[in-house]
Amino acid sequence: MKKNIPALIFIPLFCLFEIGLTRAQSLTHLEKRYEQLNIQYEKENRILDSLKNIFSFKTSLIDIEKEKKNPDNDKVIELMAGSVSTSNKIEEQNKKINRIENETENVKHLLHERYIAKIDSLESLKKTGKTDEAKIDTEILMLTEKNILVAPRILSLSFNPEKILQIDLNKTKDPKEKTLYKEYLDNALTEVSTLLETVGTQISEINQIVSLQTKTRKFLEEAELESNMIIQSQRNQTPEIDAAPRPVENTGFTGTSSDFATNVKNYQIILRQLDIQQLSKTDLKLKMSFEETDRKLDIKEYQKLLKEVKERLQEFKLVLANKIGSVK
Amino acid sequence: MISGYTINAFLIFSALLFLPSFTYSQIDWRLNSEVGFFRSSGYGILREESLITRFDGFFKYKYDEDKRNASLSFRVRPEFFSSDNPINSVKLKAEGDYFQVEDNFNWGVNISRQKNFFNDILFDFTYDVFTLVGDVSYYFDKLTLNTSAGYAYQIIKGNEEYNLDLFFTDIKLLSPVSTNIKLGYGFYLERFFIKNEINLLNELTTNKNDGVRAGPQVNINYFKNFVLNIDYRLLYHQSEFIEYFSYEHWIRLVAGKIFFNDWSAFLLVDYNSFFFKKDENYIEGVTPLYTPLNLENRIYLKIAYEIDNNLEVYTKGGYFKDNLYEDTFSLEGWNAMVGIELNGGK
Repeated sequence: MKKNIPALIFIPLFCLFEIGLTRAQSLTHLEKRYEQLNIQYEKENRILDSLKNIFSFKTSLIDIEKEKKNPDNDKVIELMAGSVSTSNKIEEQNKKINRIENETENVKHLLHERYIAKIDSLESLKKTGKTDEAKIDTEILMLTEKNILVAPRILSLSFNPEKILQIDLNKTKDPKEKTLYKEYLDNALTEVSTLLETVGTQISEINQIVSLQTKTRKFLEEAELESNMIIQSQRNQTPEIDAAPRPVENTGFTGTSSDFATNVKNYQIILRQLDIQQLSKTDLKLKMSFEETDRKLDIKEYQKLLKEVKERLQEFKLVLANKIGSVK
Repeated sequence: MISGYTINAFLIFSALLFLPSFTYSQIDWRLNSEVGFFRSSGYGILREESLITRFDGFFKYKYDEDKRNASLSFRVRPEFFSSDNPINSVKLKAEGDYFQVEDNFNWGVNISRQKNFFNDILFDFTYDVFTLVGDVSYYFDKLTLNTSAGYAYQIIKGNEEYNLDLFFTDIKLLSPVSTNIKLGYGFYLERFFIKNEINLLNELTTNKNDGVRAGPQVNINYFKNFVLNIDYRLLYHQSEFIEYFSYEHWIRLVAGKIFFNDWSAFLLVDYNSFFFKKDENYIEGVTPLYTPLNLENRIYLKIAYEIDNNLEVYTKGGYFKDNLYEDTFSLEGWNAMVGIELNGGK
C-alpha cells in the first residue's frame, strides 16, 4: 500500500493537469473553429452572391429573348433549364450557409460558456491576492472583449457593440476623430448605465414578486397543517393566490395573476428595447416572443433572463469604462 | 416533561445551525422548530392550557423541463403538547405534482396523502386524507378558465370512525379588472358520501348520508407590493337528512406583505357558517349531515424576519374554532408560538 502512495498522489494530479490542458486546448480549438467558420461563412456568402448574379443574368437573358419579336423558343428553354439548375444551386448554397450559421451559433455558445468560466476563475484567483492583479485584470478585460463578440447580442442599443470593441482612442491620431469617438463612447456608457439601472429596478421588483409568491405559498402550506383537525383537503379550495404564484414551481407558468401579467408586459417593453435575440442559444428556457401572451412566461425564467441582461450590460460597461479611461 | 422536550428541541436545532448549508437547485428543504402556548376548550384531547413544542421537516424534489415540471414532496411534523396528560402528535404528508404547458392551455395532476396521528393516555386517534386532483387552465385572450376535478377521502379513526368520500369539480373564470386586480367567478360542485361508525350505548352503529354541496363562488385577487385574496362561496346543501333550503357560507381571506426587505407578515382568516334545515329522520349527534371537512373558523397571523437566505425567525399565533361534528362538538382556542426556520434550495 505504501508503495502505491506516490502513484495515488501523482495520478489525480496528472489527471487534473491533463483536464486543464484539454480545456485550454479546446478553447484554442474552439476559437480557431470560430475563425474558420467566419471565413467559411464569408466565402460561402460570396459564392451565393455570385450564384444570385448568374441567376439574375440568366433571367434577364430569358426576358430579353422573350421580348424579341420572334423569340427562339429552344434558346429560352435552354436558358430556363440553366436558370433552374442555378436556382437549385442557390438553394443548396443557402442550406450550406444555414448549416454554417448553426454551427457558428453552437461554437459561439460554447465559447461564451468557456469565457464566462475562465473570467469567473480569474476573478476567484484575483481574490486570493497571490497573483499579479494587473495582469489578471488585463486578461479578464481581454476575455470580456472576446466574450462580448460571442455572447448573444443586444441589438437595440443605439451603438454598435462590435464597433465599440474596434475603437482604440490611443491609436486615433486625428483629434477630431478622437473627440467624435470619445463622445460616441461616452454616450454609449450613459446609455448602458441607464439601462442597467432600469434592469436593476426590474430585477429587484421581480425578486420581490417571486419572494412574495414563495412566502405566500409557504404560509398557506403551513396554515393547512396548523389546522388542528380539519385539513383543507381540496386543493381547489386554496385561494387564487396559490394559482397566481404557481408559475414558480407548481405550474411553471402563470395565467391567473393579472398584476404579474401587467408587470411582465412592462418587462417586455424593456426587453423590446434591448431586443435580445438568440435566447435559445443560451441556457435560458424562455424563448421570448413579444406577440406571445405574457401568461406563458415563467417568472423564474424571466428572472434569469433579466439577470443575464444585467450581466451583459455590466460587461459592456466595464469595456466602455476601460476604453474611455485608457486615453492617454 | 415539557422542559425536556423544549430543551431537546433547541439543542437539535442549534446543532443543525452548525451544519453546512447544502443547496441543490432541484431540492427544496426546510427545518422548523417552534415552541409556544396553546389553550383550548371544548371537546377532546386538547382541552387544556399547555405548552407546545413542534418540529417540522419539509423536503421537495423538483424536476423541471422546458414545458413540464414535476415535484415530489414529503413533510413530517411531530408535536408535543405538555399538560397533566401529555399528548403527542405526528403529521405526515406526501405530495406529487405534475404540470405541463400546451399551446393554449396548461394541465396538471396533483396527488397527496396526509396522515395525522394523535395519542394521549386515553386513546389513539388518526386522521387520514387523500386527494387526487386534475386541473386544466384554458386561455381566451385576457381571460383564463380554470377547471379542476378530483376525488378525496377523509377518514377520522379513534374509538369511532368517520368516513367521507367526495368527488368535486371547480370551474372558475378569471378576468383582469385592472393592472393588479383580478376577479374570478365560477361554480363549485361536490358530491359527498358519508359513513360514520358511532358508539351508541356501547355498540358501534353505522350511519350513512350522501348528498350534494354546490353553489356559486367569487374571488378577488390583488398582487403587487402586497397580496390580498378573498374567496367567497355560497353553497347549497342537499342530502338525505336535509330539507330545502339549506346552505353554507364560506369565506377565506389571505393577506401578506414583505416590508423593510427582511420582514414579512401574513394573515389568514377562514370563516364558515351553515344553516341546515334538518329532516325529521335526523337524530342529533348520530346522523351525519356533513363531515368536518373545511368547517373551521380561524384567524392566523405570522410575522417573520429573514436573517439571511437560509435562516428565518418568526412568531405566529391565532384563534380557531373547529366545528368538529356539526355544531355539537367544537374545539376553540388560541395559540402563540415562536420559531426558527432553516431552509435551502428555493
